[in-house]
Amino acid sequence: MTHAAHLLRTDLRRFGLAIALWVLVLIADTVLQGVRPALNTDLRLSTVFDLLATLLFASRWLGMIVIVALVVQSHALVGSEAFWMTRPIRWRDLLASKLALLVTAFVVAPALCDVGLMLASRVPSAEIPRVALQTALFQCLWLLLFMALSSWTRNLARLAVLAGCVLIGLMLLLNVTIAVMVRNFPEGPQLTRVIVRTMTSPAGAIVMLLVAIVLAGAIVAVQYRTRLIRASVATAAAGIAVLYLIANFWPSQERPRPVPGWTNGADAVRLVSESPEAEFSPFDAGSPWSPGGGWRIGSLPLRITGIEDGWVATPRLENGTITFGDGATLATAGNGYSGPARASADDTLSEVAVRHALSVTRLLEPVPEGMGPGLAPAIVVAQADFEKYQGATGTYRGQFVVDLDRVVAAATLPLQVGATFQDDRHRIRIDQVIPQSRALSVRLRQFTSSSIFDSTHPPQVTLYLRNRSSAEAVSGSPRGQIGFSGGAMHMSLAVGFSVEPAASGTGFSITGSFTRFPAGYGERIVELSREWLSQAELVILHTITEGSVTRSVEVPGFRMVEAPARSAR
Amino acid sequence: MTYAIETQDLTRRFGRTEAVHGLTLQVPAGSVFALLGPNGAGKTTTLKLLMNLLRPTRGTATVLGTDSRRLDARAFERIAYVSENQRLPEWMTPRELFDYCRPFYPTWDDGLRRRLESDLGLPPEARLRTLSRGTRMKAALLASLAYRPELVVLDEPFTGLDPVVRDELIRGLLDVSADRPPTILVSSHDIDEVERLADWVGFIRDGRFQFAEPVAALLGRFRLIEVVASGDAPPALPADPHWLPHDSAGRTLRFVDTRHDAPDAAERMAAAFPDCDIRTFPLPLREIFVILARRSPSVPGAES
Repeated sequence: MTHAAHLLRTDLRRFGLAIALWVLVLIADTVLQGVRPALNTDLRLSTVFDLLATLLFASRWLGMIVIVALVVQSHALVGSEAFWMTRPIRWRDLLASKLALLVTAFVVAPALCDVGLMLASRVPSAEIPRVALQTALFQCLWLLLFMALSSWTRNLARLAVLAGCVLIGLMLLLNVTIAVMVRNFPEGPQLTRVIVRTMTSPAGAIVMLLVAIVLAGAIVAVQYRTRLIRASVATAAAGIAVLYLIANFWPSQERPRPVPGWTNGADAVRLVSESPEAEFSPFDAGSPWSPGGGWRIGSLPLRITGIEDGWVATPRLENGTITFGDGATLATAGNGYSGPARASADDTLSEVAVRHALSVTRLLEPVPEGMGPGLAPAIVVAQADFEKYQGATGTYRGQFVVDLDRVVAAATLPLQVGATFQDDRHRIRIDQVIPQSRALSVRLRQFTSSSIFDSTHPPQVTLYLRNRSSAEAVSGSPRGQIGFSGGAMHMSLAVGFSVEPAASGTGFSITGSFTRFPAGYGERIVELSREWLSQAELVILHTITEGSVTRSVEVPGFRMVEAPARSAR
Repeated sequence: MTYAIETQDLTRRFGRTEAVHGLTLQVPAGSVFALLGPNGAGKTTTLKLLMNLLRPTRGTATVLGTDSRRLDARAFERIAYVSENQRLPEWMTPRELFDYCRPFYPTWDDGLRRRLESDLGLPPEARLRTLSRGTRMKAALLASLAYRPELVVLDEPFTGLDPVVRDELIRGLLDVSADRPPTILVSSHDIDEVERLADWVGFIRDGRFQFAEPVAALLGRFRLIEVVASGDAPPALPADPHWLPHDSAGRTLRFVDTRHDAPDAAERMAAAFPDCDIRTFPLPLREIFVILARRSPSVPGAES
């Protein structure tokens, strides 16, 4: 038997029970993730499951930290009193034995649990290795970081003190960073480079993650090799510098999202203002750090024509000027703002696209205030200029980046328990259909897999009830989402590295939700009759993010007017 | 003479405190070398420097021919280190501790282990954490002797132990020594603990090494001299760097001669104290140690 195997066996004898208990917690947590959305049928059960899930989650992470610390510190790497230090134990053997035990428990086991959960949830086999690999990589990173912290301390108490100091240090750093950002945050509107929508390569985030793992491993290896904290801290400092360089100088490999061929037509995606009057309201940058006093934002009722059926176009202001009769020209002081474009005086493009995708003539749910055929931001001017030129006539010339989205009906399901929709990364199952007075609630389970290896974001999912015979549909609103993805925690770490992943990378998750039809967010109450519901079916709509085109608009006779109080930007 | 341990200007600082200062030491191979000194003298730091548990601030140390900073797993197959401060894997039983250690040592002798286990009366199945300090020390010593190391380094191994346990440990050490004598470097602040073992003795104080020499030579050169004057008053002690005042009473003067092995010692004595009755008494090692410990760092006549 090699020395590493002998050391591994010794550690296993000492910590085997603790690790077995941890694996049980892991399995329980995984099983609960799988069954919780299905069993969550009432509030009492939901509360019990919430509590249990919180307990398991906390036990899982606390248990991991404590066990890693105990395993590492059983052969302490600091001080001069450890028994092993004067024994013929090679640091490589010791590190190999620790890694074999800890990687099996805290990397392989969670990845296997993920695989099991995904297999049980019938995730397509092509997606399983990617999500499992992501889980393994992030677990590996956490494990090595915990090992590094543990290797700098000789017992749990000292580790707790060190972890506390690290947390306090991070909080101070965060506070200082925010304070500096707030101090330097520019006031009022800003002119930025407005670019077309791009696709990000997943390579940056993957490289960042792999380098972070290698560096965390290097910190641990240096501490095992030298037993000198200053050497491994120097390695950590060098590692942070390397990560910083990668985060800031790694080529982003962004490329424009493709646009469909029909946008090349002469009349495709044309911007027209339905009125020469722009409503100006006080500018609010939307940030408490950026008071907008002294500025006005003017919005036009922009209509977009030349759109294929099933497409939505949203204009984003790139540049805007007003030239007045006296030769004076006002240029926009800010850009990047977007607003809904109209298909007609009464319709938004999105509503038209949804109706087309659903093959219905009417959406029963009234459009909520502020979300209907509104106004698109066209220019930002100083308050003084607004007061000076209010009522004056000029010519507005605007340039916009128009973002395109495609709305498609991904599936139609009968309102029956067990009806299921599945595509590559997403599965929806109806668990319960609950008729209510003049309404209907559906309990759904959604299985979503996403990893940093994905090059695209999953489409946005919306649910509608459709009645073909009346050619009507009504939207639903999800309530009481249940479920948690461990990947969210991993991703918070990745975001800390400031390299944006191409996809959300939240791993595999199962969520349960009640969706009520109608959504009930309108002013007018929509009531669904029993007959209407008896012929209804569930339609899953996907809104797919596509590319952008650049368009301009000219509005002669442009006038600046005060926005009525009801107007919402 | 070959040396198992050699140090040259070995120095270790902790912040502004110099725990060991310029230590130059040679431990002959095969000897039992007692490194003596009061508490806080720098003995433990010295041994940790030798075992590569601490890095020297300055100077070098060679242990079994290897630079102490390069002592690796292979070197530790030939070295045993037992310290009162060592953190044993206390969740193990003594038997598990031996099973844990065995695969690392190609020279592990299970027969010797069984014999020592029996001689020392170790309870094999009780957890180390439940055992007394003396029994834990026995287990540590046994786990360090069973592979017949070439060098045994013991840091205050007998501190706080009752005489019976101490005797058992010494007997265990001597048993191994009888087969194939290793070099033993043992630190202590109490000469009684090591008197039976040591054939060489070194003295360290305030981080500075004072002297090292064979015990026999030390015993041979230290004498208590009693001078009885013929008159009413005791004679005055002439200035001699090798004569250390002891006491005087009535007509009698007592002092310690630290160079009594010199060929002219008797003549110098007779010349210094004419008409006096001079008697010499051998000093036990403990007395010599106490005399040296009470002196200033620059002990007259203490150089080896």
